[in-house]
Amino acid sequence: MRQTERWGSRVGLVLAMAGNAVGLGNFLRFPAQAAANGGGAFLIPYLVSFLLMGIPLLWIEWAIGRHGGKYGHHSAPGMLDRLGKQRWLKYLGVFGIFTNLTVAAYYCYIESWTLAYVFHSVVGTFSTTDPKTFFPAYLGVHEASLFAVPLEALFWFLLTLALNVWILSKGLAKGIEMAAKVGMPLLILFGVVLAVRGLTLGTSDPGVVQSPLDGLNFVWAPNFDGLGNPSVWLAAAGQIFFTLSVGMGSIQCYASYVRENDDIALNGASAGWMNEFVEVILGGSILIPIATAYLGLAAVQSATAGGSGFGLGFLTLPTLFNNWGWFAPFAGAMWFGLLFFAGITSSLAMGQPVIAFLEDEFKLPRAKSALAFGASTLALGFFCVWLYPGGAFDEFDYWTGTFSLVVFALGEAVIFAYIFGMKKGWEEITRGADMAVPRVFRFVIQWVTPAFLIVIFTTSLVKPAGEWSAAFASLAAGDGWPFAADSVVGKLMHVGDSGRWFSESGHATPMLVKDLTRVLLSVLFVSIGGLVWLAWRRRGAEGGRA
Amino acid sequence: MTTGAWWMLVVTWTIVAFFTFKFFWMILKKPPQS
Repeated sequence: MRQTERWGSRVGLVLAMAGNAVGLGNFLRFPAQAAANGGGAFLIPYLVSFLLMGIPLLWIEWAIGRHGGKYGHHSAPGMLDRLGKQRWLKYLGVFGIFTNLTVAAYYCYIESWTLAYVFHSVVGTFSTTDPKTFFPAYLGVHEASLFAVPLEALFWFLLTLALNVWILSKGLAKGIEMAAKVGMPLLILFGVVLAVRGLTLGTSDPGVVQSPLDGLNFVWAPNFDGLGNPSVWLAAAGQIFFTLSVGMGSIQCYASYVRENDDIALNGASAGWMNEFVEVILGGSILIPIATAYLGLAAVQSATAGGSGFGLGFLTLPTLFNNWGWFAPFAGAMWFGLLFFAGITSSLAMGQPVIAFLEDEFKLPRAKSALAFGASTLALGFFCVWLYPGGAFDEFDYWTGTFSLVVFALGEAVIFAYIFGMKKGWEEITRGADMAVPRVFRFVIQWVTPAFLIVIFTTSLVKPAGEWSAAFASLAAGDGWPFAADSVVGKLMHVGDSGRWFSESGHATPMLVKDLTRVLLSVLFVSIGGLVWLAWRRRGAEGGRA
Repeated sequence: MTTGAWWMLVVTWTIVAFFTFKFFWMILKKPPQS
Protein backbone atom coordinates (compact mmCIF):
# COMPACT_ATOMS: atom_id res chain seq x y z
CA MET A 1 0.00 0.00 0.00
CA ARG A 2 1.24 3.48 -0.84
CA GLN A 3 2.60 5.47 2.10
CA THR A 4 0.30 8.40 2.94
CA GLU A 5 1.99 11.77 2.64
CA ARG A 6 1.97 14.07 5.69
CA TRP A 7 2.58 17.75 6.37
CA GLY A 8 6.07 18.54 7.59
CA SER A 9 4.92 20.85 10.39
CA ARG A 10 1.77 22.27 11.89
CA VAL A 11 2.79 25.86 11.15
CA GLY A 12 3.43 24.83 7.55
CA LEU A 13 -0.06 23.33 7.32
CA VAL A 14 -1.71 26.47 8.71
CA LEU A 15 0.31 28.72 6.39
CA ALA A 16 -0.58 26.53 3.40
CA MET A 17 -4.26 26.65 4.38
CA ALA A 18 -4.09 30.42 4.87
CA GLY A 19 -2.26 30.73 1.56
CA ASN A 20 -5.03 28.74 -0.07
CA ALA A 21 -7.58 31.25 1.21
CA VAL A 22 -5.56 34.41 0.60
CA GLY A 23 -5.93 35.32 -3.05
CA LEU A 24 -5.98 38.31 -5.34
CA GLY A 25 -9.50 39.15 -4.12
CA ASN A 26 -8.14 39.99 -0.66
CA PHE A 27 -6.34 43.00 -2.16
CA LEU A 28 -8.44 43.85 -5.22
CA ARG A 29 -12.03 42.90 -4.35
CA PHE A 30 -12.43 43.39 -0.59
CA PRO A 31 -11.67 47.14 -0.37
CA ALA A 32 -13.91 47.93 -3.35
CA GLN A 33 -16.73 45.79 -1.96
CA ALA A 34 -16.45 47.43 1.46
CA ALA A 35 -16.44 50.92 -0.03
CA ALA A 36 -19.40 50.16 -2.30
CA ASN A 37 -21.51 48.58 0.44
CA GLY A 38 -21.61 50.88 3.41
CA GLY A 39 -17.92 51.36 4.23
CA GLY A 40 -17.17 50.56 7.86
CA ALA A 41 -20.75 49.36 8.36
CA PHE A 42 -20.07 46.63 5.77
CA LEU A 43 -17.75 45.04 8.30
CA ILE A 44 -20.68 44.24 10.59
CA PRO A 45 -22.47 41.84 8.19
CA TYR A 46 -19.03 40.77 6.99
CA LEU A 47 -17.89 39.63 10.46
CA VAL A 48 -21.33 38.17 11.24
CA SER A 49 -21.10 36.13 8.02
CA PHE A 50 -17.58 35.07 8.95
CA LEU A 51 -18.75 33.73 12.33
CA LEU A 52 -22.02 32.14 11.18
CA MET A 53 -21.00 30.84 7.76
CA GLY A 54 -17.24 31.17 7.21
CA ILE A 55 -15.82 29.56 10.35
CA PRO A 56 -18.50 26.79 10.45
CA LEU A 57 -17.84 25.95 6.79
CA LEU A 58 -14.11 25.83 7.46
CA TRP A 59 -14.68 23.36 10.30
CA ILE A 60 -17.08 21.30 8.17
CA GLU A 61 -14.51 21.08 5.38
CA TRP A 62 -11.60 20.30 7.70
CA ALA A 63 -13.72 17.58 9.34
CA ILE A 64 -14.79 16.06 6.01
CA GLY A 65 -11.16 16.10 4.90
CA ARG A 66 -9.66 14.48 7.99
CA HIS A 67 -12.47 11.91 8.04
CA GLY A 68 -11.87 11.02 4.38
CA GLY A 69 -8.11 10.88 4.87
CA LYS A 70 -8.65 8.21 7.53
CA TYR A 71 -9.93 5.95 4.74
CA GLY A 72 -7.18 6.89 2.30
CA HIS A 73 -9.26 9.43 0.34
CA HIS A 74 -7.68 12.82 -0.35
CA SER A 75 -10.14 14.17 -2.90
CA ALA A 76 -13.82 15.05 -2.64
CA PRO A 77 -15.51 12.05 -4.35
CA GLY A 78 -14.04 9.55 -1.90
CA MET A 79 -14.49 11.83 1.09
CA LEU A 80 -18.18 12.45 0.40
CA ASP A 81 -18.71 8.75 -0.34
CA ARG A 82 -17.55 8.03 3.21
CA LEU A 83 -20.11 10.38 4.77
CA GLY A 84 -23.07 8.10 4.07
CA LYS A 85 -24.34 5.01 2.33
CA GLN A 86 -25.93 6.77 -0.64
CA ARG A 87 -24.14 5.99 -3.89
CA TRP A 88 -24.76 9.46 -5.33
CA LEU A 89 -22.66 11.18 -2.67
CA LYS A 90 -19.43 10.58 -4.55
CA TYR A 91 -20.86 12.27 -7.64
CA LEU A 92 -21.39 15.51 -5.73
CA GLY A 93 -17.68 15.21 -5.06
CA VAL A 94 -17.09 15.63 -8.81
CA PHE A 95 -17.40 19.35 -8.06
CA GLY A 96 -14.30 19.06 -5.87
CA ILE A 97 -12.24 18.00 -8.91
CA PHE A 98 -14.04 19.92 -11.64
CA THR A 99 -13.90 23.25 -9.84
CA ASN A 100 -10.22 23.04 -9.02
CA LEU A 101 -9.26 22.07 -12.54
CA THR A 102 -11.33 24.72 -14.28
CA VAL A 103 -10.66 27.55 -11.84
CA ALA A 104 -6.93 26.76 -12.01
CA ALA A 105 -7.11 27.17 -15.80
CA TYR A 106 -8.04 30.84 -15.71
CA TYR A 107 -6.62 31.59 -12.26
CA CYS A 108 -3.14 30.53 -13.36
CA TYR A 109 -3.57 32.87 -16.31
CA ILE A 110 -4.26 35.80 -13.96
CA GLU A 111 -1.39 34.62 -11.76
CA SER A 112 0.88 34.75 -14.81
CA TRP A 113 -0.12 38.39 -15.38
CA THR A 114 1.18 39.25 -11.91
CA LEU A 115 4.49 37.52 -12.65
CA ALA A 116 4.77 39.40 -15.95
CA TYR A 117 3.97 42.66 -14.15
CA VAL A 118 6.73 41.99 -11.61
CA PHE A 119 9.17 41.67 -14.51
CA HIS A 120 7.88 44.78 -16.26
CA SER A 121 7.93 46.77 -13.03
CA VAL A 122 11.58 45.86 -12.43
CA VAL A 123 12.72 46.68 -15.97
CA GLY A 124 10.82 49.96 -15.89
CA THR A 125 8.25 49.31 -18.62
CA PHE A 126 5.61 51.33 -16.79
CA SER A 127 7.81 54.41 -16.55
CA THR A 128 7.45 54.81 -20.31
CA THR A 129 4.31 52.86 -21.22
CA ASP A 130 0.84 53.48 -19.83
CA PRO A 131 -0.54 50.21 -18.41
CA LYS A 132 -3.86 51.08 -20.05
CA THR A 133 -2.09 50.70 -23.40
CA PHE A 134 0.17 47.89 -22.28
CA PHE A 135 -2.50 45.56 -20.87
CA PRO A 136 -4.80 45.13 -23.90
CA ALA A 137 -1.74 44.64 -26.12
CA TYR A 138 -0.37 42.09 -23.64
CA LEU A 139 -3.67 40.17 -23.75
CA GLY A 140 -3.88 40.44 -27.52
CA VAL A 141 -7.24 42.18 -27.35
CA HIS A 142 -8.14 43.76 -30.67
CA GLU A 143 -11.28 45.62 -31.50
CA ALA A 144 -14.00 43.48 -33.12
CA SER A 145 -12.08 40.22 -32.66
CA LEU A 146 -13.17 37.38 -30.41
CA PHE A 147 -9.83 35.58 -30.61
CA ALA A 148 -6.34 36.25 -29.34
CA VAL A 149 -2.99 34.47 -29.49
CA PRO A 150 -0.83 36.76 -27.33
CA LEU A 151 2.67 35.33 -27.41
CA GLU A 152 4.08 37.15 -24.39
CA ALA A 153 1.04 36.32 -22.25
CA LEU A 154 1.33 32.68 -23.34
CA PHE A 155 5.01 32.64 -22.37
CA TRP A 156 4.28 33.86 -18.84
CA PHE A 157 1.32 31.49 -18.60
CA LEU A 158 3.52 28.53 -19.51
CA LEU A 159 6.19 29.65 -17.04
CA THR A 160 3.60 29.99 -14.26
CA LEU A 161 2.14 26.58 -15.04
CA ALA A 162 5.60 25.00 -15.11
CA LEU A 163 6.37 26.53 -11.71
CA ASN A 164 3.10 25.19 -10.28
CA VAL A 165 3.71 21.71 -11.68
CA TRP A 166 7.28 21.67 -10.41
CA ILE A 167 6.26 22.67 -6.87
CA LEU A 168 3.37 20.20 -6.87
CA SER A 169 5.62 17.38 -8.09
CA LYS A 170 7.95 17.97 -5.10
CA GLY A 171 5.20 16.82 -2.77
CA LEU A 172 3.22 18.10 0.15
CA ALA A 173 5.95 19.01 2.65
CA LYS A 174 8.82 19.80 0.27
CA GLY A 175 6.67 21.52 -2.35
CA ILE A 176 3.40 23.09 -1.22
CA GLU A 177 4.39 23.65 2.40
CA MET A 178 7.76 25.13 1.48
CA ALA A 179 6.09 27.50 -1.01
CA ALA A 180 3.67 28.66 1.71
CA LYS A 181 6.48 29.13 4.25
CA VAL A 182 8.33 31.39 1.80
CA GLY A 183 5.34 33.03 0.11
CA MET A 184 3.13 33.97 3.05
CA PRO A 185 5.73 35.85 5.14
CA LEU A 186 6.94 37.68 2.02
CA LEU A 187 3.35 38.55 1.09
CA ILE A 188 2.75 40.03 4.54
CA LEU A 189 6.09 41.87 4.50
CA PHE A 190 5.42 43.41 1.07
CA GLY A 191 1.89 44.33 2.17
CA VAL A 192 3.11 46.07 5.33
CA VAL A 193 5.80 48.03 3.44
CA LEU A 194 3.32 49.23 0.78
CA ALA A 195 0.62 50.07 3.34
CA VAL A 196 3.04 52.09 5.51
CA ARG A 197 4.50 53.91 2.49
CA GLY A 198 1.05 54.62 1.07
CA LEU A 199 -0.57 55.80 4.30
CA THR A 200 2.33 58.10 5.18
CA LEU A 201 2.16 59.99 1.88
CA GLY A 202 1.79 63.69 2.57
CA THR A 203 0.14 66.32 0.41
CA SER A 204 3.59 67.87 -0.04
CA ASP A 205 4.92 64.72 -1.75
CA PRO A 206 5.25 64.97 -5.55
CA GLY A 207 2.04 64.13 -7.39
CA VAL A 208 -0.11 63.79 -4.27
CA VAL A 209 -3.45 65.59 -4.69
CA GLN A 210 -5.29 64.35 -1.60
CA SER A 211 -4.49 62.69 1.69
CA PRO A 212 -4.42 58.87 1.51
CA LEU A 213 -6.39 58.94 4.76
CA ASP A 214 -9.34 60.22 2.73
CA GLY A 215 -9.13 56.93 0.84
CA LEU A 216 -9.01 55.02 4.11
CA ASN A 217 -12.02 57.04 5.22
CA PHE A 218 -13.80 56.01 1.99
CA VAL A 219 -13.30 52.35 2.95
CA TRP A 220 -14.13 52.72 6.63
CA ALA A 221 -16.67 55.58 7.10
CA PRO A 222 -19.76 53.71 8.30
CA ASN A 223 -23.09 54.15 6.53
CA PHE A 224 -25.41 52.34 8.92
CA ASP A 225 -28.43 52.87 6.64
CA GLY A 226 -26.95 50.11 4.47
CA LEU A 227 -27.47 47.55 7.24
CA GLY A 228 -31.16 47.43 6.37
CA ASN A 229 -30.39 46.70 2.73
CA PRO A 230 -30.38 42.97 1.84
CA SER A 231 -27.92 43.65 -0.99
CA VAL A 232 -25.30 44.74 1.55
CA TRP A 233 -25.73 41.54 3.55
CA LEU A 234 -25.56 39.45 0.38
CA ALA A 235 -22.41 41.26 -0.71
CA ALA A 236 -20.82 40.66 2.72
CA ALA A 237 -21.79 36.98 2.79
CA GLY A 238 -20.52 36.59 -0.78
CA GLN A 239 -17.20 38.23 0.06
CA ILE A 240 -16.71 35.91 3.06
CA PHE A 241 -17.67 32.89 1.01
CA PHE A 242 -15.25 33.60 -1.83
CA THR A 243 -12.37 34.90 0.27
CA LEU A 244 -12.10 31.70 2.33
CA SER A 245 -11.86 29.38 -0.72
CA VAL A 246 -14.63 27.20 0.66
CA GLY A 247 -16.73 25.04 -1.64
CA MET A 248 -13.75 23.99 -3.74
CA GLY A 249 -12.56 20.76 -2.20
CA SER A 250 -9.06 22.12 -1.60
CA ILE A 251 -9.44 22.64 2.17
CA GLN A 252 -10.76 19.09 2.53
CA CYS A 253 -7.81 17.84 0.51
CA TYR A 254 -5.18 19.60 2.65
CA ALA A 255 -6.96 18.48 5.84
CA SER A 256 -7.01 14.86 4.69
CA TYR A 257 -3.26 14.67 5.28
CA VAL A 258 -3.77 15.34 9.00
CA ARG A 259 -3.77 12.34 11.32
CA GLU A 260 -7.03 10.98 12.71
CA ASN A 261 -6.71 12.46 16.20
CA ASP A 262 -4.82 15.64 15.36
CA ASP A 263 -6.47 19.01 15.94
CA ILE A 264 -8.51 20.57 13.19
CA ALA A 265 -10.57 23.11 15.16
CA LEU A 266 -7.70 25.42 16.13
CA ASN A 267 -5.90 24.90 12.81
CA GLY A 268 -9.04 25.83 10.88
CA ALA A 269 -9.78 28.88 13.03
CA SER A 270 -6.18 30.08 12.81
CA ALA A 271 -6.03 29.78 9.01
CA GLY A 272 -9.40 31.53 8.66
CA TRP A 273 -8.46 34.45 10.90
CA MET A 274 -5.08 34.77 9.15
CA ASN A 275 -6.96 35.26 5.88
CA GLU A 276 -9.04 37.96 7.57
CA PHE A 277 -5.89 39.69 8.82
CA VAL A 278 -4.49 39.87 5.30
CA GLU A 279 -7.82 40.96 3.82
CA VAL A 280 -9.12 43.46 6.37
CA ILE A 281 -5.89 45.01 7.63
CA LEU A 282 -3.57 44.81 4.62
CA GLY A 283 -6.09 44.53 1.79
CA GLY A 284 -7.98 47.61 2.94
CA SER A 285 -4.86 49.75 3.40
CA ILE A 286 -3.02 49.67 0.09
CA LEU A 287 -4.98 50.02 -3.14
CA ILE A 288 -7.59 52.65 -2.33
CA PRO A 289 -5.46 54.93 -0.08
CA ILE A 290 -2.60 55.07 -2.62
CA ALA A 291 -4.96 55.60 -5.56
CA THR A 292 -6.81 58.32 -3.64
CA ALA A 293 -3.56 60.14 -2.88
CA TYR A 294 -2.66 60.48 -6.56
CA LEU A 295 -6.02 60.45 -8.36
CA GLY A 296 -8.35 62.05 -5.83
CA LEU A 297 -11.31 60.44 -4.13
CA ALA A 298 -13.83 61.09 -6.90
CA ALA A 299 -11.79 59.12 -9.45
CA VAL A 300 -11.34 56.24 -7.02
CA GLN A 301 -15.05 56.18 -6.18
CA SER A 302 -15.82 55.99 -9.87
CA ALA A 303 -13.22 53.25 -10.50
CA THR A 304 -14.50 51.05 -7.68
CA ALA A 305 -18.23 51.65 -8.15
CA GLY A 306 -18.72 48.15 -9.58
CA GLY A 307 -17.24 46.55 -6.45
CA SER A 308 -13.93 45.53 -8.05
CA GLY A 309 -10.49 47.07 -7.71
CA PHE A 310 -9.05 45.09 -10.60
CA GLY A 311 -8.72 48.06 -12.95
CA LEU A 312 -7.05 50.17 -10.26
CA GLY A 313 -4.66 47.34 -9.39
CA PHE A 314 -3.50 46.45 -12.89
CA LEU A 315 -4.13 49.58 -14.94
CA THR A 316 -3.55 52.48 -12.57
CA LEU A 317 -1.29 51.58 -9.67
CA PRO A 318 1.80 50.77 -11.83
CA THR A 319 1.75 54.36 -13.14
CA LEU A 320 1.21 55.86 -9.69
CA PHE A 321 4.30 54.09 -8.35
CA ASN A 322 6.35 56.21 -10.77
CA ASN A 323 5.87 59.06 -8.29
CA TRP A 324 8.05 57.15 -5.81
CA GLY A 325 11.33 57.79 -7.64
CA TRP A 326 14.03 55.14 -7.12
CA PHE A 327 11.59 53.07 -5.08
CA ALA A 328 9.09 52.77 -7.98
CA PRO A 329 10.44 49.50 -9.49
CA PHE A 330 10.61 47.94 -6.02
CA ALA A 331 7.08 49.08 -5.17
CA GLY A 332 5.74 47.62 -8.43
CA ALA A 333 7.62 44.38 -7.82
CA MET A 334 6.28 44.22 -4.25
CA TRP A 335 2.67 44.92 -5.27
CA PHE A 336 2.60 42.38 -8.07
CA GLY A 337 4.87 40.09 -6.07
CA LEU A 338 2.39 39.94 -3.21
CA LEU A 339 -0.41 39.33 -5.72
CA PHE A 340 1.71 36.54 -7.25
CA PHE A 341 2.31 34.89 -3.86
CA ALA A 342 -1.40 35.24 -3.07
CA GLY A 343 -2.12 33.58 -6.41
CA ILE A 344 0.36 30.74 -6.39
CA THR A 345 -0.44 29.58 -2.86
CA SER A 346 -4.05 29.31 -4.06
CA SER A 347 -3.34 27.63 -7.38
CA LEU A 348 -1.20 25.01 -5.66
CA ALA A 349 -4.21 24.23 -3.48
CA MET A 350 -6.24 23.73 -6.66
CA GLY A 351 -3.69 21.31 -8.06
CA GLN A 352 -3.38 19.05 -5.04
CA PRO A 353 -6.97 17.66 -5.09
CA VAL A 354 -6.63 16.74 -8.77
CA ILE A 355 -3.29 15.08 -8.11
CA ALA A 356 -4.68 13.27 -5.07
CA PHE A 357 -7.63 11.98 -7.12
CA LEU A 358 -5.30 10.52 -9.76
CA GLU A 359 -2.96 9.10 -7.10
CA ASP A 360 -5.67 7.56 -4.93
CA GLU A 361 -8.12 6.31 -7.50
CA PHE A 362 -5.87 5.51 -10.48
CA LYS A 363 -2.56 4.80 -8.70
CA LEU A 364 -0.71 7.33 -10.83
CA PRO A 365 2.68 8.41 -9.42
CA ARG A 366 2.85 11.96 -8.09
CA ALA A 367 5.07 13.36 -10.84
CA LYS A 368 2.80 12.00 -13.56
CA SER A 369 -0.29 13.27 -11.73
CA ALA A 370 1.26 16.73 -11.48
CA LEU A 371 2.06 16.67 -15.20
CA ALA A 372 -1.50 15.56 -15.98
CA PHE A 373 -2.80 18.49 -13.93
CA GLY A 374 -0.45 20.85 -15.75
CA ALA A 375 -1.43 19.53 -19.18
CA SER A 376 -5.17 19.76 -18.41
CA THR A 377 -4.77 23.25 -17.02
CA LEU A 378 -2.79 24.28 -20.09
CA ALA A 379 -5.43 22.93 -22.48
CA LEU A 380 -8.30 24.57 -20.61
CA GLY A 381 -6.28 27.71 -19.99
CA PHE A 382 -5.42 28.02 -23.66
CA PHE A 383 -9.13 28.02 -24.41
CA CYS A 384 -9.48 30.97 -22.01
CA VAL A 385 -6.45 32.76 -23.50
CA TRP A 386 -7.55 32.19 -27.09
CA LEU A 387 -11.15 33.21 -26.55
CA TYR A 388 -10.48 35.82 -23.86
CA PRO A 389 -11.83 38.70 -25.97
CA GLY A 390 -14.96 36.66 -26.74
CA GLY A 391 -15.80 36.18 -23.07
CA ALA A 392 -14.67 32.58 -22.43
CA PHE A 393 -12.67 33.72 -19.41
CA ASP A 394 -15.68 35.36 -17.75
CA GLU A 395 -17.80 32.33 -18.52
CA PHE A 396 -15.29 30.06 -16.79
CA ASP A 397 -15.22 32.40 -13.80
CA TYR A 398 -19.00 32.48 -13.50
CA TRP A 399 -19.86 28.80 -13.80
CA THR A 400 -16.82 27.30 -12.12
CA GLY A 401 -15.45 30.00 -9.83
CA THR A 402 -18.80 31.23 -8.56
CA PHE A 403 -21.80 28.99 -9.19
CA SER A 404 -20.13 25.60 -8.66
CA LEU A 405 -18.63 26.71 -5.36
CA VAL A 406 -22.00 27.65 -3.93
CA VAL A 407 -23.62 24.39 -5.12
CA PHE A 408 -20.83 22.28 -3.64
CA ALA A 409 -20.70 24.17 -0.34
CA LEU A 410 -24.46 23.94 0.10
CA GLY A 411 -24.41 20.24 -0.75
CA GLU A 412 -21.59 19.36 1.62
CA ALA A 413 -23.04 21.44 4.48
CA VAL A 414 -26.39 19.65 4.18
CA ILE A 415 -24.77 16.21 3.82
CA PHE A 416 -22.51 16.86 6.82
CA ALA A 417 -25.36 17.95 9.09
CA TYR A 418 -28.13 15.62 7.90
CA ILE A 419 -26.59 12.52 6.31
CA PHE A 420 -23.35 12.16 8.23
CA GLY A 421 -25.31 13.58 11.15
CA MET A 422 -24.51 16.29 13.67
CA LYS A 423 -23.67 13.83 16.45
CA LYS A 424 -20.85 12.30 14.43
CA GLY A 425 -20.09 15.65 12.80
CA TRP A 426 -19.61 17.43 16.09
CA GLU A 427 -17.45 14.60 17.40
CA GLU A 428 -15.35 14.84 14.24
CA ILE A 429 -14.82 18.59 14.61
CA THR A 430 -13.98 18.51 18.30
CA ARG A 431 -11.88 15.31 18.43
CA GLY A 432 -8.31 16.24 19.36
CA ALA A 433 -9.21 19.93 19.42
CA ASP A 434 -6.63 22.26 20.94
CA MET A 435 -9.29 24.88 21.58
CA ALA A 436 -12.69 24.80 23.22
CA VAL A 437 -15.15 24.96 20.34
CA PRO A 438 -18.21 26.88 21.59
CA ARG A 439 -21.16 24.50 21.66
CA VAL A 440 -23.39 27.07 19.98
CA PHE A 441 -21.59 26.18 16.74
CA ARG A 442 -23.29 22.80 16.75
CA PHE A 443 -26.60 24.61 16.31
CA VAL A 444 -25.07 27.07 13.86
CA ILE A 445 -23.63 24.29 11.66
CA GLN A 446 -26.91 22.41 11.64
CA TRP A 447 -29.26 25.30 10.95
CA VAL A 448 -27.69 28.70 10.36
CA THR A 449 -24.87 27.87 7.93
CA PRO A 450 -27.11 25.87 5.55
CA ALA A 451 -29.68 28.69 5.74
CA PHE A 452 -26.98 31.24 4.79
CA LEU A 453 -25.95 29.07 1.86
CA ILE A 454 -29.54 28.52 0.71
CA VAL A 455 -30.03 32.30 0.65
CA ILE A 456 -26.80 32.82 -1.33
CA PHE A 457 -27.74 30.00 -3.72
CA THR A 458 -31.30 31.22 -4.25
CA THR A 459 -30.31 34.82 -4.77
CA SER A 460 -27.64 33.78 -7.27
CA LEU A 461 -30.37 31.98 -9.21
CA VAL A 462 -32.84 34.85 -9.39
CA LYS A 463 -30.80 38.00 -8.70
CA PRO A 464 -32.77 40.90 -10.22
CA ALA A 465 -31.53 43.67 -12.45
CA GLY A 466 -31.65 46.65 -10.08
CA GLU A 467 -33.00 46.70 -6.54
CA TRP A 468 -34.89 43.75 -5.05
CA SER A 469 -37.78 45.98 -4.01
CA ALA A 470 -38.19 47.20 -7.60
CA ALA A 471 -38.13 43.61 -8.85
CA PHE A 472 -40.89 42.57 -6.43
CA ALA A 473 -42.90 45.62 -7.51
CA SER A 474 -42.46 44.59 -11.13
CA LEU A 475 -43.61 41.05 -10.32
CA ALA A 476 -46.65 42.34 -8.39
CA ALA A 477 -47.56 44.58 -11.32
CA GLY A 478 -47.59 41.55 -13.62
CA ASP A 479 -44.49 42.68 -15.54
CA GLY A 480 -42.48 39.61 -14.60
CA TRP A 481 -39.19 39.25 -12.73
CA PRO A 482 -36.33 41.26 -14.24
CA PHE A 483 -33.47 38.76 -14.07
CA ALA A 484 -30.00 40.29 -13.86
CA ALA A 485 -27.60 39.36 -16.63
CA ASP A 486 -25.32 37.82 -13.98
CA SER A 487 -28.03 35.71 -12.31
CA VAL A 488 -28.01 31.99 -13.12
CA VAL A 489 -31.40 32.21 -14.81
CA GLY A 490 -30.35 35.39 -16.61
CA LYS A 491 -27.19 33.67 -17.85
CA LEU A 492 -29.14 30.65 -19.07
CA MET A 493 -31.67 32.91 -20.81
CA HIS A 494 -28.82 34.96 -22.33
CA VAL A 495 -30.15 38.21 -20.87
CA GLY A 496 -28.30 41.09 -22.55
CA ASP A 497 -26.84 38.88 -25.31
CA SER A 498 -27.39 39.35 -29.03
CA GLY A 499 -29.57 36.24 -29.26
CA ARG A 500 -27.64 34.79 -32.18
CA TRP A 501 -24.41 32.89 -32.75
CA PHE A 502 -23.43 34.68 -35.94
CA SER A 503 -23.86 38.28 -36.98
CA GLU A 504 -25.47 39.21 -40.27
CA SER A 505 -22.00 39.47 -41.79
CA GLY A 506 -21.37 35.86 -40.75
CA HIS A 507 -18.95 36.58 -37.89
CA ALA A 508 -19.17 34.67 -34.64
CA THR A 509 -20.74 36.58 -31.74
CA PRO A 510 -19.78 36.46 -28.04
CA MET A 511 -22.92 34.37 -27.49
CA LEU A 512 -21.37 31.58 -29.56
CA VAL A 513 -18.23 31.73 -27.42
CA LYS A 514 -20.34 31.59 -24.26
CA ASP A 515 -22.30 28.56 -25.45
CA LEU A 516 -19.17 26.78 -26.65
CA THR A 517 -17.60 27.39 -23.25
CA ARG A 518 -20.66 25.97 -21.51
CA VAL A 519 -20.56 22.87 -23.70
CA LEU A 520 -16.87 22.40 -22.92
CA LEU A 521 -17.46 22.75 -19.18
CA SER A 522 -20.45 20.41 -19.25
CA VAL A 523 -18.50 17.75 -21.16
CA LEU A 524 -15.64 18.09 -18.70
CA PHE A 525 -17.95 17.73 -15.70
CA VAL A 526 -19.57 14.61 -17.13
CA SER A 527 -16.14 13.19 -18.03
CA ILE A 528 -14.89 13.61 -14.47
CA GLY A 529 -18.11 11.96 -13.31
CA GLY A 530 -17.25 9.11 -15.67
CA LEU A 531 -13.79 8.82 -14.12
CA VAL A 532 -15.36 8.62 -10.67
CA TRP A 533 -17.73 5.89 -11.88
CA LEU A 534 -14.78 4.01 -13.42
CA ALA A 535 -12.67 4.30 -10.28
CA TRP A 536 -15.44 2.92 -8.09
CA ARG A 537 -16.15 0.14 -10.55
CA ARG A 538 -12.50 -0.88 -10.47
CA ARG A 539 -12.41 -0.75 -6.69
CA GLY A 540 -15.60 -2.81 -6.57
CA ALA A 541 -14.05 -5.38 -8.90
CA GLU A 542 -11.03 -5.55 -6.60
CA GLY A 543 -13.38 -6.48 -3.78
CA GLY A 544 -13.09 -3.42 -1.57
CA ARG A 545 -15.19 -0.38 -0.89
CA ALA A 546 -13.74 2.57 -2.74
CA MET B 1 -10.81 60.64 8.61
CA THR B 2 -14.12 60.97 10.40
CA THR B 3 -14.50 59.80 13.99
CA GLY B 4 -16.92 57.08 12.87
CA ALA B 5 -14.40 55.74 10.35
CA TRP B 6 -11.64 55.71 13.00
CA TRP B 7 -13.88 53.84 15.41
CA MET B 8 -14.85 51.21 12.86
CA LEU B 9 -11.25 50.77 11.79
CA VAL B 10 -9.82 50.51 15.30
CA VAL B 11 -12.52 48.15 16.60
CA THR B 12 -12.37 45.86 13.53
CA TRP B 13 -8.58 45.79 13.34
CA THR B 14 -8.42 45.02 17.05
CA ILE B 15 -10.84 42.11 16.75
CA VAL B 16 -9.13 40.67 13.67
CA ALA B 17 -5.58 41.13 14.98
CA PHE B 18 -6.52 39.73 18.42
CA PHE B 19 -7.94 36.46 17.12
CA THR B 20 -5.30 36.06 14.42
CA PHE B 21 -2.42 36.36 16.87
CA LYS B 22 -4.20 34.50 19.68
CA PHE B 23 -4.88 31.43 17.55
CA PHE B 24 -1.49 31.45 15.83
CA TRP B 25 0.23 31.85 19.21
CA MET B 26 -1.75 28.88 20.55
CA ILE B 27 -0.48 26.81 17.63
CA LEU B 28 3.11 27.90 18.20
CA LYS B 29 2.83 27.06 21.91
CA LYS B 30 1.38 23.59 21.38
CA PRO B 31 3.75 20.70 20.92
CA PRO B 32 4.07 19.56 17.29
CA GLN B 33 1.40 17.13 16.16
CA SER B 34 2.43 13.51 15.78
